[in-house]
Parts: sequence; C-alpha cells; structure tokens
Amino acid sequence: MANLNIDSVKERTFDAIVIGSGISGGWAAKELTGKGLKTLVLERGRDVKHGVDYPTTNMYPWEFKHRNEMPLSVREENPIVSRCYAFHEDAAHFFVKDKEHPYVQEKPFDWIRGYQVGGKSLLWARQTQRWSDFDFEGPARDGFAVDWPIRYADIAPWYSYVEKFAGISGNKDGIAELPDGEFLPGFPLNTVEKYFSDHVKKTYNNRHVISARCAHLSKPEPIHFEQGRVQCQNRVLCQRGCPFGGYFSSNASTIPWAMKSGNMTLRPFSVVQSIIYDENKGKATGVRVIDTNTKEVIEYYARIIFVNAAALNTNMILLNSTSNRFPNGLGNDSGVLGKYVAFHLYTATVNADVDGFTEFKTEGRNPAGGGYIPRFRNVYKQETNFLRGYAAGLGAYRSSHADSSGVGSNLKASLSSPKMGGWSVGSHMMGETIPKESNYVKLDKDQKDQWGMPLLRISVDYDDNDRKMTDDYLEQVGEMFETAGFKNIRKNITQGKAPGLDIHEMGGARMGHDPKTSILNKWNQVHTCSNVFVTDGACMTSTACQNPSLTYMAFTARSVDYAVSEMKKGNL
Amino acid sequence: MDRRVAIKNLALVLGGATLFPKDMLAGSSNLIQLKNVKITPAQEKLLAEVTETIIPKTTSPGAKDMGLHLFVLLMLDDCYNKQDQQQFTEGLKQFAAITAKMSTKPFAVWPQAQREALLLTFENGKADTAELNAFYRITKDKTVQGYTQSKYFMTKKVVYELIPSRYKVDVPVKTNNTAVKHG
Repeated sequence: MANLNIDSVKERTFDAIVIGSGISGGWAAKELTGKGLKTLVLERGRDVKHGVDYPTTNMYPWEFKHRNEMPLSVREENPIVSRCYAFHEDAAHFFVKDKEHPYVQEKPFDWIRGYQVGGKSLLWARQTQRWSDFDFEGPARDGFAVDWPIRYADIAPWYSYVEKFAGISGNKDGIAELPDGEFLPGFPLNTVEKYFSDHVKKTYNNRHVISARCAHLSKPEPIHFEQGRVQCQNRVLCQRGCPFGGYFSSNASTIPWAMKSGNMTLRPFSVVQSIIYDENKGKATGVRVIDTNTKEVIEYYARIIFVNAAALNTNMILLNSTSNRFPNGLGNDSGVLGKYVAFHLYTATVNADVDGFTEFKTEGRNPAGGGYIPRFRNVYKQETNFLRGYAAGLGAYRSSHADSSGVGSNLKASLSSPKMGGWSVGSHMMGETIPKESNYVKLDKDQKDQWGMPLLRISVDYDDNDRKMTDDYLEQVGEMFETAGFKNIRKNITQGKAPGLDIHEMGGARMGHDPKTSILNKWNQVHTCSNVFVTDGACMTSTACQNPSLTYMAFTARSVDYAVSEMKKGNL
Repeated sequence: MDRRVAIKNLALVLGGATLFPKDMLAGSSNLIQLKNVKITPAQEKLLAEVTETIIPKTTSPGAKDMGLHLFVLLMLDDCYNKQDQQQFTEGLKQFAAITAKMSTKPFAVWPQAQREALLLTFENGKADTAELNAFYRITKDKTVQGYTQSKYFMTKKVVYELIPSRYKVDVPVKTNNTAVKHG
C-alpha cells in the first residue's frame, strides 16, 4: 500500500466496485467476478478468512473465561450491542462496539453492526423464506409507501438461482403466501411441534406450522462441496463462524468463490466516504475511500458500482455523495433518500407448558430452530384493524433439570443426574412495519467520526399499527396455544425494546417506478445515476415479514445480471 | 489443601503458563489478582473451604481440586456490580466472624457434616444479614456453575457434545431419569 499515492490511475481502475462484503456484497462480488469483471470489493473492517479467523469456533464451554458471559465492564461500556441476543464471549469479536462507531439516536434505536469481511452474514439467524405476490402487492393494495416495481415472477428465478448455491433446507409445503424454493431436505419438526402443526391445520383453514427454512446444508450437493463446504453438523454455534461451512455466509461461500475466479481484489480497512460523480459524463466514476489505519484518502474507479454497505450505511454513503448535480445526496432529486426506513417487529413472545408427550424426546440440535408460522393475517383481504401481518417462530423443547438445592455429596450426585422435565413451547413475533416518511436517517451537520464521516442520525419509532399488530399476535397465538391444550400461557411484550434489535432495518433508498418518489428502479439501479446499483436492505420498498437476507441475495444476482448485460450492450 | 496443587489448578482455570512469585507459593499472597474486589489471602482460603463444603471431594474431584473458589472470585470481580461485590466481601467477613464464634477451631477443620449444617441454614434462607445471604448465594451459584461447566463434569459426568452431527425427533424415552446431554 506504500506506493498507492504514486500508483497510476490505471492501477486503481476496475470494471466494478462493490462496497461491502456482507450477505449482499458477497453475492455482488461472486456474480461480477463470475462474469469476468475485474472487481474491487471494499470492506470497512478487517478481513475474516473462513476457518482461519474463527478463534472461538472449537472452544468448549469451560474454555471461555466467564463461561460465555460478557464482563460487566464491557456491558456498561457497550449498552447497545449488549442488548443483542448473540453478544457473548464466543462472538463478541464479530460485533461493533458502541464507542468505536458512534451514531446519534433522535429516538432510541439499537443499531447492531458487524464490520468485517462477511459482515453480519457470520452472525445472522439463517432463516430464509421467499416473498410472494401477497408481499410485493402489499403497498399498492393497502395504500402505503409506493408500488414495488417488480412482482414475484420477476424475482422467482433468482430466488432459485441463489438458493441452489447457498443451500437452503426446507420442505415443499405448497403454501401460496410462502412459495416453495429449491430445497435441500428440511429439518424435522419434533413431537410437540408436529402435534401443534396438525392441530393448527385441523382448526384453521389458512394457518400453517411448517419446518423453518434455513440456510443450512442438511444434505450438501456437489456445488456446495465445490465451495469447500460440508454437511451441517448440528452444532448450532453458528455465530462463531462454522469450520464446516454448514451454514451460508459470505466468508464460507461467495467471497472465496469470487477470490478463486482471480478477478477479485479485496480491500479491507476501507471506509467509503462517497461515490464520485462526474458532471460531464453524467454518471459515477468511482469511490473515495479512507484507509481506516492510515486515514489516507484514495480514489478507485470503475464502470459500475454496487452499494452493499448494509441498509443504513448505504444510506449514509449516498447522502454523503454530494455534487453540484446531487446536492442532497446521490440520486436524491426526490428528497426521499434516507426516508421510509422500516424494520421488523420482534416485540412479543408467547410461551406455554405442554402436558404429555413425555414418552418422546429429541437428540442433538436443530439448526432450523423449529417451526415457522407464515403470515395468516390480511393475506387475501384486509380483515383486521391494522395493516399487513406477522409471521411467528415456533419451537418446542423438552427441558432437563438437575436439582441444585443443598450442599455436599448429595448436591454433587443430583447435579450429575439431571431428570427429564416436561415439554414447553415458545413463539416469537416477526411483524411487518409500514415505511413512513417520519422514520428516517440523515447526516449530522456537525459531528464526525474519526475518519471525518458525518455521524448518522437515526429517527425511527413504532406506531399505532405496530401496537395493534402486536396485540393481535398475542391474542391469536395465545388462542392457538389454548385450543391446542397448552397450559400456563404467558404472553409477553418486550417492554422498552427499541427498534433495531431485530437487525432487519430496511429502506431509505427504496425501489419504485417513479424517480419523483423513489431512488431505485426495478433493476435496483439509481434512477438518475445509471451505473450505481443498490441491492442491500436500503432498496426495500416495504418489509413484508419474512427474514430479508434471501431476498437481498436474489436482488443482487438479478441486478448484476442486468448490469453486465447493459455493459455488454454499451449502455453502461 | 495442597497449595501447589491449587496453583497448578489455577493455571488450568485461568489458562496459559503463569509464573508464580515465592510469597504466593508460601501462601502469604492471593492466588488470583482481582481488579475490583479486595480479598485477603486468608479470606481466599476460607472461601476455598466454603466451596469445598458445597462440592466436596468424594471419589471424584472436589471444589479445591478444581479451583472453584477462584472461579467464584473471577466471576464476582468481572461480572457482578459494585453492590453485589461489597455485599459479598462484607458477607465473607461476617461468615468468618460467625465461624470463629461457633468454634475455636477454624472452619477448615470442622467435620464436613458440621460445615454443611451451617451452609444449609443459609441455603434455607436463615442468613442473619443481607450481606451473608448475598455472599452465600453468589458463592453457591458460581460454585455450581464452575463445577457443572468444568471440563471434568462436561467430559465425565454429563457429557457436552461440541459436534452432535444429528437432530433426532420422536426419540423414545424409557425413564425420566435418563441423563440428558448438554445442549
């Protein structure tokens, strides 16, 4: 890097630049390099090499100094990330610490980030469901946000394309609102989950409990072995990074694949300050990067740019990319950039005890986590006092308990002989939220981080629709549990939980038909800057209630295919 | 307790090679360096006896063999708040005073049954003070955690599987006394 200043422009020129190496950036890198484009992949954090940089992956519980508990001093210094369910000794090194990367909360928002090669794809919950037209048609039907410029038919082949490579386990369930995909064998429902699934099918004509679809190799195919990945070993220690490549991450899959092509240059420690816009050419010519270690500013050039910095960071880069042509941020003639940010409601749970079934137990661990209840509210028509609906996770567990009362040899003996307890069942809500102009991010006018980037101001909050939907979830799942004969039903609203902890923040640079009300067209292409594409969560016009990563992957592969064909036609 | 064995175990607990100064080997300094909590070498030894009463050496290793009192102190120092830490150290002082009042012999040489009887009064909520109660609760919790999450327990008693390589459902259960594997 020492000679960068005197490097010729040519050496800093690529066919394509990808900003970010997370779940969507990895896909952009794989697709672009696969089509023969010399591609620079920029990552603001450090490199994390598959298998090599997973320091905790094979550690036993007793090898963690505090048995996986975070020390109080760390929790006090990092209240935001400490609220994340996966922030423990085994994965803390993959999370951004609060002080390292400050932001401004106009309203409480827990922004969970992973700044390293692979981004949050190392940490994700690996749930992968397709959207359907009930989701893509949502805004138009229900009159919110703007109409999606695509429909299911546009994206379906690309879902298939990414599913085959990533490896998705699931069953063909034949549910219109949750289309089937290219599945490896699904993980089984256990005794109680199956009972509940049958009960729901018998009792309701439009509700389903299926095995959760997830990005795990239940039975790898040749394409997965070719990536160096093997069968999931049911460790369910995924957040540490998986030495088997049992689940999909950029690190295990797309990044090494792109590297193998010989067409990728990976540059970690590179914060993108802005995208360079050329007024004469009427398009972007490259990006301005700050080396996080040397703080040196370096420009890289390319014919096309994919922005995959993660939803809110993508907004930040676009907002910070100002020029005479775009004084309010790249592609932001409409003024909607940064607005209509939305998220998922992970605000409620229902738990209960289950009598019976004590003649059965499970063995090993389920990477899918259990069952999934697809959205059943307002699917075919509006039927409640709130818009849209929610999906729910569903898991049944058989506890075992060792009596830890008393002291001495009796205690020692009882600890060594845990007894099987009864079954219990739990559900958590995953709700759609309505994007609104008043939920936005913008750049702070004065405060900057240590690299001179303006701090992001986040102003995102719940609304009345969210509260009504949460109440309905509690009522409906409570009723489903009750009619199933479950006991001691406990409905819980997570009090004081700020948006953000769902780690499904979306929007800000939404897709749409009209440049006056959206930033991106149906190809994820900036309406008014045709060689810049945004295919991460920032592009989302609405949120549906499915876990979003699979859709980002499909958008990315589709968008790269379009971009490269346009390049070949000489249009880009 | 053999101090050299304890020091060897401390190295195992804390991981890595450690050099120990002479006064530590002589028992006149602490085995564990704490950041927040102040414990004298004598208190550290007394705590070791309390943990040994909770998890005594039988045909299998006991708390002192496993250095569990050091785990209690490590967790207290790093994962508990100031109030808990103050209550613990105050409770430990009170505990020393109570045992001194009850017998002229040090707690360490009391018969196991007598030591257990005293701890059981705390276990049953009969501690005289909040400090004593906090001291006992933290010591008990962390001793049990240190024991059940030790390499010994997780490889010899209730085995932890790092790589289960299976998820089976509808597995028949013969008796509810079947030990369930971790995870």
